[in-house]
Amino acid sequence: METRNEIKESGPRASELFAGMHRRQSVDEYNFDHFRTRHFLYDARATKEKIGIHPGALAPDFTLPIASGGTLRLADLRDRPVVLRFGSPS
Amino acid sequence: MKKLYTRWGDRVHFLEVIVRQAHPGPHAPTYHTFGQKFEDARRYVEEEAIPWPVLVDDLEGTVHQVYGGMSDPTYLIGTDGRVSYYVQWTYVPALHQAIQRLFAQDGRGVVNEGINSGVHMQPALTTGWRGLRRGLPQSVIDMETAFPGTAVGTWIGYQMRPVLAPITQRARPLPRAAKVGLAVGAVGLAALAVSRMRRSSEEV
Repeated sequence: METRNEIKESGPRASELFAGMHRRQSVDEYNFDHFRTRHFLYDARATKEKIGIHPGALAPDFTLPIASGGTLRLADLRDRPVVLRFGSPS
Repeated sequence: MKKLYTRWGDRVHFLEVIVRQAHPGPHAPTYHTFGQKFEDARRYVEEEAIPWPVLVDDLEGTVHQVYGGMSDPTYLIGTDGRVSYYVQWTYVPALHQAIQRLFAQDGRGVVNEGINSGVHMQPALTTGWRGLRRGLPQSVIDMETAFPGTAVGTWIGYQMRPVLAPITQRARPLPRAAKVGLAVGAVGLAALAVSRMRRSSEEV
């Protein structure tokens, strides 16, 4: 069950968003085996440098599977504001 | 976050995207396939009784990385599809204020200068253990190696959550008077401790 998410073009292009940002991580680098000091330091630095999508920019659209079934597209939720959190079970 | 959902869930869509194992261990292994990641997300939804849709990003974290790749960021998106506010550590009191402001300006536009870039570690003091314990024992060993004392700190914080949670898990910003009160209390306790240490050293 391998899927790849397509970042839709209605928002900014992924490549534009990465310009000037930290380089993208490989799949193994991303799914690390050990939490290390550098992971936290990246977060702390990213916080200070305000890395991420900037306020006022279009939130890049995506379609992702829902854990409890079905899929969801961000752009379908324009009727109300959205709180979008990125999290981890551990 | 659940408090925020209770308060705003009927007026705001809540979404969570699963990124990766932040603190892997034998029972919370690093994701190697999308199927494994998806299964783990399902387990997480069940165990934590998450009431909002939990989405599963692909194995590379494509969506996550486009949004900056931070460990625990939360975006508030307006009805125009634009980012209104961004908190790097899902700091709930700041989010609560931002949502209030957003509704005051018709659900769109940048609020509260758009970004909260404080390093908010306080909520993790009482909830960090919930995540960390999934990866036992390796998660704790890794955490203590990376930052000595932090894993034990979250364990102690978790045990003391009946006392600490009203402060660390609060959904709204503390009133200024309460902040001053806490600061005065902390200084008072420190002064008391110092005077006791002095007295006991004089006795010796």
